Amino acid sequence: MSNFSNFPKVVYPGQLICPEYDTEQNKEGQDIVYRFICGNGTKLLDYKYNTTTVKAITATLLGDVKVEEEITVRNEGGEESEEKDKDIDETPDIIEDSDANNSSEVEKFSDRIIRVMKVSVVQDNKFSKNALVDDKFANNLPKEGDIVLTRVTRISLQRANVEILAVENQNVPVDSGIGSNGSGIVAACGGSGASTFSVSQVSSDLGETFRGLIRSQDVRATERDRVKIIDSFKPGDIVRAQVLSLGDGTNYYLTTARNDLGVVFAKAANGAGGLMYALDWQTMIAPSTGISEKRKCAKPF
Amino acid sequence: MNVQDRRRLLGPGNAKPIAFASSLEPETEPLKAEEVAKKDGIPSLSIKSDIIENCNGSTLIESDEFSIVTSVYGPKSIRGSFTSQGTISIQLKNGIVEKYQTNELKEVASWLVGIFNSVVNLEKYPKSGIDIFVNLVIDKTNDISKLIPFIVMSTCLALVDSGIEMIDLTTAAEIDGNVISFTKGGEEIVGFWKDNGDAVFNDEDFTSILGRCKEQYINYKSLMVNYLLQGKKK
Amino acid sequence: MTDVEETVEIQPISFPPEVFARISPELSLQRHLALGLRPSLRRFDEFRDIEINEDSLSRFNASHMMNEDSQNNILGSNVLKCGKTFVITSITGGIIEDTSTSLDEVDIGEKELLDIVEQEDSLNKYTSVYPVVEVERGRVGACTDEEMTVSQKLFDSLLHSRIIPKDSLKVQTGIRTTDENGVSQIIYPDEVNNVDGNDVDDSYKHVMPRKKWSYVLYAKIVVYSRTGPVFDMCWNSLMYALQSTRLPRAFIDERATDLKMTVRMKGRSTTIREAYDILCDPKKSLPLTLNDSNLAYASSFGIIDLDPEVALEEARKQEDKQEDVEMDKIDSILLADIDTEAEESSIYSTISLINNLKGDFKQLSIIGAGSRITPNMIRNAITLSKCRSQDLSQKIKK
Repeated sequence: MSNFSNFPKVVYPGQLICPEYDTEQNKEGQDIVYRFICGNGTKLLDYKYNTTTVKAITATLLGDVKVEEEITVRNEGGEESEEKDKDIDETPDIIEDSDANNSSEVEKFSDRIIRVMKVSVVQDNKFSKNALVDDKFANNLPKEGDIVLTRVTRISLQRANVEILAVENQNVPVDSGIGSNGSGIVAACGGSGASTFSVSQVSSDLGETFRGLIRSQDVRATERDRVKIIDSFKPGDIVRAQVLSLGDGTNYYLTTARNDLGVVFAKAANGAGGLMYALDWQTMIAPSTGISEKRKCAKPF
Repeated sequence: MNVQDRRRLLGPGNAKPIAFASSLEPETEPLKAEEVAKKDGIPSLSIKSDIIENCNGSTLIESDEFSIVTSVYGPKSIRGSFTSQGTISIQLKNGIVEKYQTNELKEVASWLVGIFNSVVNLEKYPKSGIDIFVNLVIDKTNDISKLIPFIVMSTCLALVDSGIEMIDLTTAAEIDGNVISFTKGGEEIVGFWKDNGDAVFNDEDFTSILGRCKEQYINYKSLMVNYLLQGKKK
Repeated sequence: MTDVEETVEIQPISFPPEVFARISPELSLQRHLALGLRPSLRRFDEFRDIEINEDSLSRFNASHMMNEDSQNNILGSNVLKCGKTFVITSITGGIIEDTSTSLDEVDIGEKELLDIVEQEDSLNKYTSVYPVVEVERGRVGACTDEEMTVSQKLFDSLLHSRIIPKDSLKVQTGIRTTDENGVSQIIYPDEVNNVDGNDVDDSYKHVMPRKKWSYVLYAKIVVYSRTGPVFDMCWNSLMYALQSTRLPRAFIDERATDLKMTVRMKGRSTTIREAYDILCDPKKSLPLTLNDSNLAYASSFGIIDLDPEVALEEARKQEDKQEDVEMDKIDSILLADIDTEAEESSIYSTISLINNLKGDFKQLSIIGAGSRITPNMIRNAITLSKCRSQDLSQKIKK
């Protein structure tokens, strides 16, 4: 691990972090080849060094360098893949230990071990400090698979139009515990408030937020053809949804076909009444009046 | 202002703007001498980031001669068809004294767009636009070429502040009306602006100007890096 | 962080405060208010402090760098910082020929009539500035509704506040004479008077132009980093800027006065009127005389109904325990100096005041949009705004 200590701790855009490949010998005399891949805030660029061109990882953001090991496991089915992130700030010994335990996970070529390391730049100290929010929207543009918080702007028979207010950031820092809680996809709404969000600074009233649409067949996973948008969303509702695709020029395509996705905040009587709470996954009730309305709710716990 | 704009209160149409009689003694002479003295040196700058609340990133650069506020808005969604990478737009604005013509500012702005297109990691920002506003709040230089290095610098720092990914820090240097913008530690030139000053006809002169600009660029860049890293430590 | 914990009780999907404020500003505001706080952590009746930087940009401020700039045409300026917002006001001027017939040319009967009319129309003695407000919000194009309404409101309020008398904008022209050696000199009759003490005025009278000019003042107000309603800040900044304004001395060339004599013979004709080229002295200036007793500062208040339904469970429990009778009664509250998105977007009832140090109103508007505004609240607002004006008036060094 000695060579990681040469990495700059704090970087600015354009600063070199490391070359694409690096080698090291471990205690048993094995060669370890490190292959560094780009994480958030970095980019692989060509550098000329004594007439030869070398690819190197360069920072594109101002922030702290984070190096994580990325291990890909192929089950026999070859379909599932598991990602485990380890913080390199841990002491080298621990890494060595885990290395030994997971030795099967590391691809071996004779006496050479290839380890894939992900280098990313973490902006600000917001993550590691108490705040849970990265309020810079800049690096959290909605991507496929991201969970977003949206407000319904318009509904029709076939779809609900929404504006994206915030992106639930999937780049959850390791120390927030989700990485160790669950394997596979990061447990959405982990119940601990650990997930991070980013907020658009752009006021939504000005019509410059990113827009999305939820088609009626993407509202729920079952009985997809019987979905009535009017019984699922109303304008003004705050909906938690997942990005299906970047969509066209104006709209992202979103889905709520999961238990933890759907309406999280809604007001009764099209916004005139008070706040409603979810009774079950398709009913919400206003406690002051006792009147219930239909919605496709996100799992309330 | 010849067309009556009814959305703004512009006052009576027949009022003439105040015209000052030209001063009797020429004031510009002593200034010139000073300028020559500090031509290649770095003027003392004060840099402040994150000063504007309603945008993603902002920077204020001030010296005795100017004060530039740059704000970065976005990435915002764009209208129209799908684009696989972000687009940058830059607006330059006169400050309290309307010094430059609009077309002059537009020209500089489009030149700046060229520079930042080559340093911002645009692939990260599909179907979005990044809007940059540069306000030349105070400017005593009367020569936009002298300001360009600082406009580039403040824009670059504002982009860093906004957290928009950039491949490299860029800034420009100005010698005798030649403004050259570099990246990659001076290895690559991303922009060249020449508006006034003596024409350069031969390679030798140009090489010397290039060398001096590069030196200035390295100075400016280390200034920026120092500023960024200092801010980070806090 | 309180929001995170509190939200958990109602709905286990929890949001950090920033996100919560974004997706449901109204609820976030109500939760804050239920705790006795505002999202900005100010008290209900607390204003933001104001920092001003007076007159650092204008031409006639000798202490500053800008005075060397020959292109600088700013007569008065102010930079006002309020919370995170800052406002830059610059006052520029123009000169307009007084087309209203000068009094000595009117026959006596007509003059009397004019006097009567003017007494009736006392507002006519005052004038305003022409403000253009720009709120930086990261876009280009036509001005927004907010910019237009704020500009208009500034114009009207300033006129009706009777702060700038028309007389103080009258140009007292001087004459530039060039002697046989080619050395020009500018003579201002009123200054000569003062120096010599005797009546030199007469000697210049024959060369003095018969035309009258007055200044027109323009204000360019640029608001950066807008976080809430801006009218108060614009008004206050304009007030400070006006107090620092200095009008340049203006003169016409000797030759123009000669020309004028001929013109008199022929009567006025528009073509020849253009020949007067009135120029301003690059060095000399006079302070703008304002009606000091009318100087006033603005403050604003919002009224919001507390929603008992969204008050936090814990707060309610506490209330029950302490049997706080007062808490039960208060169903709407007065907030001073509205700021932040949450407050701006959920408060519809407002009181806006401009008053001078004595507490006399120059402008008062009360908009009741649903929330109950009690006389007590209005009284409260008036008291607070009086304190605010007194505080603000002390910011400027006289």
